[in-house]
Amino acid sequence: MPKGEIKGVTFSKSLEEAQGKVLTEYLSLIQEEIVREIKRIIANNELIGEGRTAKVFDITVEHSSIPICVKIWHSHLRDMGQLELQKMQSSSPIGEFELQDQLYLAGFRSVPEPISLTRFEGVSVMAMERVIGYSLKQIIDAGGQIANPKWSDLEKLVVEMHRKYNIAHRDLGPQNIMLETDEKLEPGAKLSGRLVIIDFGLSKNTIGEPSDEDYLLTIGDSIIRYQQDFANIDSLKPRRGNDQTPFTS
Amino acid sequence: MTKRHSPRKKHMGYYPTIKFSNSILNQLDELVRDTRPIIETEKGLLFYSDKLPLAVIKIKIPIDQYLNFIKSQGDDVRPRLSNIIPVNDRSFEIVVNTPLIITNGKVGIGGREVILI
Repeated sequence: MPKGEIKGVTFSKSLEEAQGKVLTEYLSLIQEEIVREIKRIIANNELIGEGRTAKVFDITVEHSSIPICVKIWHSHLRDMGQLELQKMQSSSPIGEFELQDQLYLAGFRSVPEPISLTRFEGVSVMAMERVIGYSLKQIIDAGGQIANPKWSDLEKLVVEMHRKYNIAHRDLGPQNIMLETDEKLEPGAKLSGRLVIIDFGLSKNTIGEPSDEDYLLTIGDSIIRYQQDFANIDSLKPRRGNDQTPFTS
Repeated sequence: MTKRHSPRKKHMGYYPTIKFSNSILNQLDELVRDTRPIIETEKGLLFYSDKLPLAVIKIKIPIDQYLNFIKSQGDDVRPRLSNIIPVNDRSFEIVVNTPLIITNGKVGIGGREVILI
């Protein structure tokens, strides 16, 4: 009798030995409930983020031990070809989920803790810890600033992610870096908190990819080697004339 | 030579798949290993921590009996089946995939009392 995963489901060994009828009925009932639950979340819960590939809803309830959200991938993605999909999202939902789990499990805690990934009829739903705070984009747009941590702390975080955990995020814009804080965002606010990196949909494990095209930039006849994540966070470095950074130092 | 087909595989292709993160499963393993169950009945043991988003059940009866028990309960006390997920290769058999409230030995989910074991 096979053990372990079957098409991504982690069934118990004893369930494998259960009668087919019990299993079939149970899975059928679960499916109906999951479909209803997803519809209920989309209709009633707060939409806290939306991108090209997915929407994110808050599903925290009063007695949750931690704030929780779900990322629901757009169902039309299932009809796209692999190349088309790769232009938008290099990882599949399961790839993104596993990469985030691997990173968290290895000890990188500046990422939301993933909880589960549910898939049915081409729809994927990832439940994970919700970061309470603001994206750097929200802080910039609202005219707020970050007093602590410093920009150099963000740089250290990205260096750690690359060198220690071998992960390139590849979409490290101000919309995907959050300041976890319970302070209020208002114009002129100087916030303190903890930096958290979100949305690993374009991320890659960099082991064995020293000449990845993402790290090469062609200008005229010259090919310049660079690291996209560092180029992205460099644009957030506080310097004279840069009003597109929330960092004060 | 006749190839054998598993009846389960025929059915499973169209059903939902649920995978929990190893990070969460490891913490739930620790919960079972390091703490006492919050509720125990002849059907199993419920482990819960207010620090974790999920709870787990270590069942004492065969899994098909347990699933039948959950399915057959009345709507007033039956948890959503999508919250009762069997898992493999762990120190427990069931993940309760939703936050719980435990009051005086009773389990509440979403403002309603349910029976899990």
